[in-house]
Amino acid sequence: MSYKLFLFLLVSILAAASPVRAQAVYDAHTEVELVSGVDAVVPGEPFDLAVRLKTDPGWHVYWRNSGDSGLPVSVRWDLPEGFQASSIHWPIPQRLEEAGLTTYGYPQGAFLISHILAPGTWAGNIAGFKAHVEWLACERICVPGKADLVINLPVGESAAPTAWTYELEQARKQWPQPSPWTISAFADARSIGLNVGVPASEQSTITSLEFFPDRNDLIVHSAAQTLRATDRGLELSIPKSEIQTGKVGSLSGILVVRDDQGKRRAFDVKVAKVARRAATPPLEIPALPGVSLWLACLFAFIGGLILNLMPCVLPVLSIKVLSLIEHGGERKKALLSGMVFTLGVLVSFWLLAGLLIALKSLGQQIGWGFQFQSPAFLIMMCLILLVFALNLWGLFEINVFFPKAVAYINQRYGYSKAFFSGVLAVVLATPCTAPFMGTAIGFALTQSAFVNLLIFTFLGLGLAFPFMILCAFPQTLKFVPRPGPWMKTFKKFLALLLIATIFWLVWVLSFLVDTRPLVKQAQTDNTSIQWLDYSPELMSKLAQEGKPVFLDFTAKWCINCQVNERVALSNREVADKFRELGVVAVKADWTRFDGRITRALAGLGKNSIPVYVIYSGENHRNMKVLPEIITPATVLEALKTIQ
Amino acid sequence: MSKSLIILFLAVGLTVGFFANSFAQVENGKAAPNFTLKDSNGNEVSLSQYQGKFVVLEWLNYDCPFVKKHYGSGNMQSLQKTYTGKGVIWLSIASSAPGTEGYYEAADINRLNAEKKASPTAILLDPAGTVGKLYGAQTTPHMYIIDPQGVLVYQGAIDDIRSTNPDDIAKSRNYVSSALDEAMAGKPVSIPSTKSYGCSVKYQE
Repeated sequence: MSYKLFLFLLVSILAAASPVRAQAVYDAHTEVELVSGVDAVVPGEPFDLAVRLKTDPGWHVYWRNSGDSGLPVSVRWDLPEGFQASSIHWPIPQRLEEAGLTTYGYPQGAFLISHILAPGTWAGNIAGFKAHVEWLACERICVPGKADLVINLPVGESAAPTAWTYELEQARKQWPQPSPWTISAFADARSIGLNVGVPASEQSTITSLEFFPDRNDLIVHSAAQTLRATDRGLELSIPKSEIQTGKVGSLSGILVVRDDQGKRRAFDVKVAKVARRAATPPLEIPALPGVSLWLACLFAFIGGLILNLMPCVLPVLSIKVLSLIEHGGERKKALLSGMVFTLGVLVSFWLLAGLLIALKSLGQQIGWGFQFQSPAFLIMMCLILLVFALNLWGLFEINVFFPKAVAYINQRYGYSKAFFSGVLAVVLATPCTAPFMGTAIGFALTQSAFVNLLIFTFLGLGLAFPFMILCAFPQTLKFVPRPGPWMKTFKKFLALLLIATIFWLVWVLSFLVDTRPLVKQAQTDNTSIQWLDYSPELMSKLAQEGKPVFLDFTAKWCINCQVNERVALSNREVADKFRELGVVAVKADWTRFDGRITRALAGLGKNSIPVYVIYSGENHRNMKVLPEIITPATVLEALKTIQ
Repeated sequence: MSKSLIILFLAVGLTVGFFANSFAQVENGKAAPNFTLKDSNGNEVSLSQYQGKFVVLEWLNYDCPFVKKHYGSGNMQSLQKTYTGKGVIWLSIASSAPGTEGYYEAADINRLNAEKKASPTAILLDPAGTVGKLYGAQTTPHMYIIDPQGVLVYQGAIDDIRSTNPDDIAKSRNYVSSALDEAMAGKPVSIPSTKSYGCSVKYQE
């Protein structure tokens, strides 16, 4: 061996043993190594060492509580005499969905940092630090990995940054912080509640709160956590694990906060004593900032008004107008008729609100328009409308079947018709989430039962308002033509409208009973947007890759969604921009019930669709929610945020 | 008026159909739901035929690291041997869907079973995952104990150390053996449910 080669080898060996980077180990689809943010140990000065785990694409490792399955990463330090290591600082994990189970982990890996206390004096000029690391890496399958890692650091009088200093700094930013708000907890038979003292002024900036417990068997990891405002701040309700039959003593974990800028932070939660609460919580008087509550009511009212224009409500209203004309300007009768109609609307909204409140407390994951996900409901609806349509077309009179009963009811219960017209208007209106209404309901569902009812009441008043006007001021009725032969034609026209509605329902139904994937339209031309089907896995993969995503929450029964898709998302310019920016278009189709989509919506604080979100940046740290009615211009404007 | 009645019925009908939850849960102290599955020898096995005996249900996926911990160390085999020797029926259930980890044809299951010298009463094949979902089995392993009256007395983890490391078995408290010992002695089970640990059951997507 030549002298030069020997020297070269010696240098390489020394370089390999150089302190900054220890040998990385690759096992179980994961690269693992010990890294240091300083290039030397200074006696008496604490420093940080980190276990760096980097997983292969698609694989993940777990947080200190792995959730329903999986296993936390474990680190056992073997330090030189006199050195001490703190416990691991875990960065904020992601909530991961695996085949119906929920786990907490790191889709790309993580830096697990321990704070090392160095003794005041150290004989010798090198200190060796060892760590035995075990982990479970999972994709769909899981592989356990382990590694014995070593890093040698020279001991000196001063230390300089290393190649890892910056990345460790970034990792520290991912640590949960002490909470700026007071946090207390209570438990009842079914759930655990966290009272987070967020001042009213800050509440509006928070889009979601999520509790990640330290203990594995405390909560139902896969269940949605619901948020509502109370007089003390925000209350997060978390379904309790069925295993927890006894007293919940203490509680710890982290609270992950997402704000309206899309920023994700976390705070430590440590509650020494969890209070007990009776199984049925007392009805709380809302202590919301007055303005936002009444604003929500106003929105609900306006939303209700707009519902009148929806193609799915219009036919019903027209039927009612017709019956008014039949009464022909009898003021008192018309007024009463209008009030009864309003009552019908209100009662059915209250029923719906009650139902939603009940289902919500049962922990069911549902959202607005959900009844259109049930084939039985749709079939019944079609039949009813068919009967109406045939009746309007003049094929038969309802009283043909029950002549005596109808005559009896017409005499004594003349207003039941008005009442049930109100009911029908509500039932049909629900899928047509007009702008404002979504906001109002989304708001209502995070609130107490009382606020819920209030919002729904205003929604109903809005829906019934134009009708009331017609009834209260019969002079407006004068503008409506007198009864005559034209009515037959008008009725036939209404019948056609109803038939069209039936076709729409059948169309929705065909997607419900069809088991094929929903959004697989053959889109071979490359001028239109190529849509991918939503899945949490796909989203976390895209987040990992840092690819910008346009996420579209839609359903066949959502007319506004369809309109938006035709107007804004089929636009050539928009499609070109998507391609130019490399935006991945993802469609979350909610036509059929899909708990993952419901959860995703809940995560955004939404309960109804359409919802459009643009994610961008590393780990999708930027998030922009678009309005419910979008135009090509709105989309193009919003896309600027990712440039 | 019939119209009104129908509409009212409609409003009530709103509630129909949203309660179908794909994950059922079985409750301790309640009757364990009956099921019938084919075993790895092609025989039909029903839970009800073992009325009058203690039955252990063990969710199985030979390729899962957590299952390997208990089979590689011989822990599961020794539990099976001990308790089947005392008249307990031990049913290992494989709910992995075809094409997923842990799915094997009956012949391969029998071969693996022989290789591992395991001695369950039977290995039941549940590739559609119906029984797994009926019981709410989330992980492999996930253990259930049913008493002679057909009542569920334990569900959850096999032991109290969540790991894939066989060395932990000696240090752990085995929930299954302690529950079986208590129940067979006519005592109430002191820890009737725990949070299971392991790989996710590879159900059909």
